[in-house]
Amino acid sequence: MAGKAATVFIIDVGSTMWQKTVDNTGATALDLASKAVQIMIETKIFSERKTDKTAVIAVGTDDTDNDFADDITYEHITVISEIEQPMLPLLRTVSNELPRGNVSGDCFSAIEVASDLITKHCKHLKYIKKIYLFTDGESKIGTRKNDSLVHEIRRGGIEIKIVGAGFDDPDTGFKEQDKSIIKAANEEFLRKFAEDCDGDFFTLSYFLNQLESPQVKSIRLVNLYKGKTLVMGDAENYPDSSLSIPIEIYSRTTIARPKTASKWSVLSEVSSIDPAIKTHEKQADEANRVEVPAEDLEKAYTFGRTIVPLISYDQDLLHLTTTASMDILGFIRTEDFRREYILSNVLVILPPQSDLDASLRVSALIQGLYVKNAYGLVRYISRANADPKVGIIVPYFKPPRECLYFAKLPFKEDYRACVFPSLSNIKDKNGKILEQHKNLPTKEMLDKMGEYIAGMDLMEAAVDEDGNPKEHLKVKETFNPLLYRITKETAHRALRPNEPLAPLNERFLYQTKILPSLEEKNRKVVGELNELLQIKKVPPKAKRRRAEVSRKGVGEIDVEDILGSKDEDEVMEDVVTKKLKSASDWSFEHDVSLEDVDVRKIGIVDPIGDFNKMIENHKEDLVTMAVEQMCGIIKKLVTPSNGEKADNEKALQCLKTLRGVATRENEAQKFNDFLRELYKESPKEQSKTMDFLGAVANANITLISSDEASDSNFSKYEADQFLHAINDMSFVILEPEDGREHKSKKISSGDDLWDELMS
Amino acid sequence: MDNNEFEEEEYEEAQEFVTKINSTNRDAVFFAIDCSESMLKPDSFDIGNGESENNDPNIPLRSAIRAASEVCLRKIIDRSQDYVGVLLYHTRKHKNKSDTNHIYVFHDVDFPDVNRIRELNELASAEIDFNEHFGSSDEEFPLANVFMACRDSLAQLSASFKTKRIFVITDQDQPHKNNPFLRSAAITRTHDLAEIDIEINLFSINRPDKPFNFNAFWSEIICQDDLKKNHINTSGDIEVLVERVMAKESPRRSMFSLPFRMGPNDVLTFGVKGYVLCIERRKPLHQWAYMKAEEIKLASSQATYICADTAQRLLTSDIKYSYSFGGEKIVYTADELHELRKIGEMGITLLGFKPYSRFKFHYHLEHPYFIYPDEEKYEGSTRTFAALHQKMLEMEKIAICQVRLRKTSVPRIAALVAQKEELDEYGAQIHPPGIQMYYLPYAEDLRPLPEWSELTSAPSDLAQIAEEVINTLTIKSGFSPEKFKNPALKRFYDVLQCIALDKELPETYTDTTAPKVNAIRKRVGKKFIEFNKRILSTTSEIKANRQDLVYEVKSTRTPRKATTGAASRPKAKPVSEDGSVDVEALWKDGRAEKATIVDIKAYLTKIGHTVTAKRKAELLEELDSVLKQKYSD
Repeated sequence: MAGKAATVFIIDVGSTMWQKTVDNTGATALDLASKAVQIMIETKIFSERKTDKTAVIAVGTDDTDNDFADDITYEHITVISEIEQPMLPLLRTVSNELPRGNVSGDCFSAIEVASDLITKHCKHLKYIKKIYLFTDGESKIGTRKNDSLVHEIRRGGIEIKIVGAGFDDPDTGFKEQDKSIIKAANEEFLRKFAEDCDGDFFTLSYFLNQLESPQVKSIRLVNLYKGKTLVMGDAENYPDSSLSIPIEIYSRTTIARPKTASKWSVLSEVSSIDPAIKTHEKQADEANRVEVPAEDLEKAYTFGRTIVPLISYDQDLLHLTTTASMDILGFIRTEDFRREYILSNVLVILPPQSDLDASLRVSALIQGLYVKNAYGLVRYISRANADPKVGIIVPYFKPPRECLYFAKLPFKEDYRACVFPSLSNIKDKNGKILEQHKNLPTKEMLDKMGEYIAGMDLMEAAVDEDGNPKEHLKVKETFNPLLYRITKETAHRALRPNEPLAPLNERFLYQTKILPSLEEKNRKVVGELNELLQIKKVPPKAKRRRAEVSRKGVGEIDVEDILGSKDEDEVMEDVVTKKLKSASDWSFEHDVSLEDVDVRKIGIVDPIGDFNKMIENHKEDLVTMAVEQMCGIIKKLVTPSNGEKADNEKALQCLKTLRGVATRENEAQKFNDFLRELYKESPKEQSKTMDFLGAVANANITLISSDEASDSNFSKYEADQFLHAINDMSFVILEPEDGREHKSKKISSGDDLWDELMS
Repeated sequence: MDNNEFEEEEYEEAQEFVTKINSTNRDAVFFAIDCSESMLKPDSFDIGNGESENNDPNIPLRSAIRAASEVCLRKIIDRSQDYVGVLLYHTRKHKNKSDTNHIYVFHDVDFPDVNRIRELNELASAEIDFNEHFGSSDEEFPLANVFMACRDSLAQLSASFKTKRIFVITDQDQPHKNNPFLRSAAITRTHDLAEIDIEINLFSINRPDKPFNFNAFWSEIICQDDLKKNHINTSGDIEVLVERVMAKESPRRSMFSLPFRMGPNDVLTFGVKGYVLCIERRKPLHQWAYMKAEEIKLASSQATYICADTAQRLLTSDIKYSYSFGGEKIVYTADELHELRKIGEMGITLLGFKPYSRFKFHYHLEHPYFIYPDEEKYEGSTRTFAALHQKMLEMEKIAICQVRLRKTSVPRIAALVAQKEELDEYGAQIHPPGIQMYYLPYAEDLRPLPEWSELTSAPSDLAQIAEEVINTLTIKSGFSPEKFKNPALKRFYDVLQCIALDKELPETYTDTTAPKVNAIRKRVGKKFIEFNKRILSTTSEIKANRQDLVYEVKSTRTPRKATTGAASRPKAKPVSEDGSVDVEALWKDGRAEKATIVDIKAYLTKIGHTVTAKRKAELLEELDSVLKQKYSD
C-alpha cells in the first residue's frame, strides 16, 4: 500500500502541557506528546517515501501563524510545518524546539486549520488523510457547532485520532484526580467529536505504548509473473486437450532485509559519496602483482585449472534459451512429500483480478488438490531465458479465500544425501542391538522429557489484553529486532550525534529468551531433567586430550577399535564421536580460520613445517596441541610400524625444534615429560628408542631446566644429568623436592629412574 | 557489485560458506585400479545395449578408467579444490617413486584437469594402447606395495585435506591366496593407513564365472559398517560404478557447532552441529582473464575506493558507513554496525513447543538446517538430543527457538521439526535421524494475501474433473531431488567442457525437467476437453446470473442509502455531485453560514474564484457577491 498520505500532527503546547509532570519519570505531557510525534515522524523519514507527507501544528503558542490568523477564533495556532515530506530539521524541531505557550489555544480551531491544510493539499486526489491531536484538554474550546467540521471530516475521509493526556481510560479504569471542570468538559466534547467523525480516541500513555511496539510496513504487491499462464499439457499445439490458466504470482513470505549502509569517506567533510573504482591485477605469482587495464581482460571461467576465456558467441551457448512458463509435471500425494526439500520462500499463485474464467480454473485445481490430498509438481521459468526450476504447488482452501502456494524444490545437484548414526538403534560390534547405552535415553529420561515438552507448551503461554491465555510467539507477533533497531538508532544518532549507541528496546529481548512465567513453571522439571541427563561440559582442555590420543601415534582412529580389544561400550562411543569428528572439526567459533587454510594437524612428511605453522597461528592458540602432536610424530618416527625404517635424523630435528618452542612457550614440562616418557618406554621397544636417545644425548639435547624456562621443575644440573644418564647407560636419581641439594645414586634400571623422576 | 559486508544476504553467506567449506575440507581420492588379465576381458554382464562406446563389450578396466574420468569431471565442477589420482597395478611396466614393480602411477594425486580427463578418456576408449604403455601382468607381488604407494602420495597432502581415500577397483577377491605372509603384510599396511586417516573403499567387480567373495580377504581390510558402506559391488557396470563413486562424494561437513539451551543459565545445555543438506547450486560467476601475456592469466579484481572530495585513495580505516536519513547522512563505524547486530545469545535457545500443525506451509523462507548432537563440547548431548527427538516425534510437537548462528548474524526464530530415521528394505539409511531447523518469518517477512484471493469458487463438477486428472497423473513414488538434474547447470558445464577440451559443441540439449506433454495428453487430454467446455458454459452462466444480481443489488441499495441518510441526519448539508458540501445550495437556502471556511474556500476555488479572504465573515461576503453575480446573469 504505497498510496499517497498526508498526516497533520496537532500538538497542544499550552502552559499546562509543559508545566505539569504526568508520570514518575518527571516527563510532562508535552514531552510525551513530542515523543509520540517523533516516533511517527522517524518512521516516515526512514521510509524515504516522497508521497508520505506530514504537517505539524502547535496550538497554544504565544504567536499566531496560520491561514486564518485574522480570525480571533484561530488565534494562538501556529503552523510549524506545511504538508511536505518530513526531513530531519522537522524531527529536530519536534524533538527539542517546540514552542511553549503561556496562553491557551482552541484545539477545535486547530483541527479546522489542519483539515484545511489537508483539503488544500490533497484537493480531490486520493490520499490517506490523518489528523492527530495531542492535548491535555485544559484549554478552552469554543462552543461552536461542530456539525460542519464533522461532516467535512467524514466526507473527506480524514481519520481523526485524539490523544489525551490524563484522560479517563475505561480499559484500565484510570481516572485523573481533581480533574478541572474545563478538562472534563473538553474531554467529553472531544470524545463525542471523535465518535462523530468515526475517529479514534486514546489516552496518551496507551498511545505511546502502542507506538513503541514495532509496526509492520505494508508493501506494495508486485506481480512476479505478468501476463503468463499455468499450463498442463501441450497448450500450444492442442489448446483443447490441455489446461491453460492465466495467473499472477506474488510473494507470500520474503525476508525483509535491513536497509544497507553506504560507504562514507572520513576524509571528506562535504560529500560522502565515494564511488568504487575497480582495478584488476594480474596474478603472475603471489608476490608479483601487477595492475592491468580492464580493456585487456576477457570474461573467463575456469574448468579445473584450465582457464576458458569466452568470446560472446560462447557465452550465449553457456546459457539455456528459455521462455517464461509454469508447467505442471504431475502430482504427488501429500504424505509422500518431505518439507525439508523446500529451499525457497513461498509465493502465491492467483488468477488475475476479476478474471472469472481463470478464477474457476484455478479454483477447480485448488479444490481437486485439496480433496485428493495432493500437491502439484511444476517446472517454473520466471522470465525469458531464466533457468528452469522445479517447484511444488500446494492448495490453500479456506473459502472464501483460495489460492495456490508455490515453493522451489532442489535439483539433484542441490541436495546432498548424508548418513548419520541412528539415535535409537545402537549395535555392539557383533551387530547386536543394545538396550542400554550412554547415548540412549532411559525410559525415565524420556518420561521427564515428555513432561518438559508438555510444560513448555506455548499455545497458552502468553496473556492477552483481557487476561486470557493466548499463544506465545505467533509469527505475526514476532519482529525482526535489527530492522527496528537500525531505524531507532539512526534517528537517535541524528538527534544526538555524540551519544553512544542506543540500547535495544527490552521488548525484543523478550522474544529471545524463555518466557519468565514458563521458566518459573518448569523450574522443577528442568532441574530434574538436568539431574537425569547429566550433561557435562567438556572443558576447553578437551583438545589436549585428543592430542594425547595422537601421541599414541594414532590419528582419530584407534586401532584397538578395529581389533575390538576395548570395552564394548567404549567402542561404540568412540565410533560415534569419531564419525562426528571426521565429518568436520570445524565450527563457526573458528570463523576466522576460514580465511586461510590453517594447519591443525602435524603430518609425517613435513612435521617441522606443520609444527611451526601451528605455533605461528595468531588467531588461535594451538601451541599445546602442536607440542603434543609433535611428541606423537617424534615417537612415530623413532618407533615405526613394521616395514619402515626409523628416521632418527628427522626425529632429532623435530626434537630440537620442539625443545626451542617448548622453552619459549611455557611448555617445558610437556617436553620434559615427553623425553622421560620416551625413555621409560624404551626397553619395551627394544633398542630402537635407545638408539635415538643416544643420538639425543650426542646432540646435547637436555631436559629443559628451570634456568631456561620458569615452568621447569629441573635445575640445570638435573637436566644435564638426565642426558648423561643416557650416555652412561647408568642413571642418576633426582629428587627435586629435596630443596636444591641433590643426592644421587647409581642404579641400573631405567624403570626405577622413571619412577623416581615421576614422584 | 559493492562488496559492502553489511549487504551480505544470508543466502549468499550460505553459498559462500559452501565454497569455503569446500576449500577447507578438501577431499583426495586415489584410484587404485587392478589391471590383471581378467580385468581386461569383456564381462558377461554386458547386455549389449550399445550404451558403451563403439559398441565395445564391457571391459571392467575401461569402465574403471571411465569412472575415474567421470569423477575427475564432477570434481572439477562440484569441488574444484579436491584432488584425484589414478594408480594402475598388476601392470607389466611400472612407474612410481619407490620403483616398485607392477605399480604404475598414471596420475599422482593432484587437481584434476582437462588434460588428465583427456588422457583418461583416451585410455578408456583405447586411443591409448593399454598393452603398449602399461601391459597387464598376473605375476604375484605384494599388494601392500600398492597401499604404500598410495600412502606416499596421500600422506604428504596439506592439512586442508580432511578426507583422504583410496578407491580400490578390482575383481580379485583373494589376493595372496597361497602366501600368508604377503597376505598379512597387506592387511597390516591397511591398518597403518587407518592410523593416519586414510580410508579404503572397495569397488568390487564380479567375474563372469564367479561372484566376488568379500569375506575371503577384503573383509579384513574394509571396515564394514552400516553407515559408511565402504564396500560396494558394482557388477562391472560403468553407470553403477560412477554413481556409486559419486554417491560417496558428499562426506558431511558441519556448518556450525553451537550450544543448544533447554533451560535458563546454561542448565540443560548441550552441543549440536548443523549441516546444510539442501541448498541451491548456481552457475559460477565469471572471472577475468588477462589475454596479453604469453600465457593466459587470471586477474583478480580489487575494489579501490576514492574519496569523491579529495580524490584520495581510501584505506579501510578511512571508510565509515552511513544511512541517509531525512536528507542527511548518519555515520557509523564498522564496529558500531557490528555492535548493533549483537542481539540475543549465540546458539540455539529453546523457547517452547507448539503442535506441528502450527508450522504452516507459507512460513517457509529458505532451506532448513539439519541438526545433530555433538559430544565434543558437552558429554551427554547425544542422549539428551535423542530423548528430545523421540518425544517430539511421539507428541507431534515442534520446538520454537531463538537462533543466532554467528556473531554477525541477525537473530531468527526457528521451528525445529524432528525427523525420523528411515531405512530402505536392505536396512540402508535413506533419511537420517535428526532435527530439521526452519527459520520462521518475522511479522515483517509476511506479505498479506491479496484481497482478490476471494475467488469465485469452481462448482463441484469442475473440481471433479480436476480430481480425476490428479488421480491419473499422480506420481506414485513422490518427489525426490534425484529425479531432476539441473538442466541449466548441465548445459553450462557441457559447453564449458567442450570448449576446454576442444570438442565439438553439443547442438541440442534435452531438458529433463520439461513436462511430458504427450503422455499428459494421452492420459487426460479428453478430460481437459471436457473441462474446457464446462468452463465456458459455467462462465457464461455465472455472468448471466451476475448481471441479475448486480441489478438487484443496485435497486435495493440506492433507496436504502437515501432513506437512512435522510433519517438519521436531518440537518445534513446538501451534497454536490462530487461529494463535497453543496455551498451553492446552502446559499440558496439562506444557510450559507452553515458551511465551514474550508467548504466555502473549496467551493470558491472550484468555480475559479481566487480566494483572498481569511476570516469567515469576509469569506461569506465574497461568496455572497460571487453567487449573486452568478444568478443575476
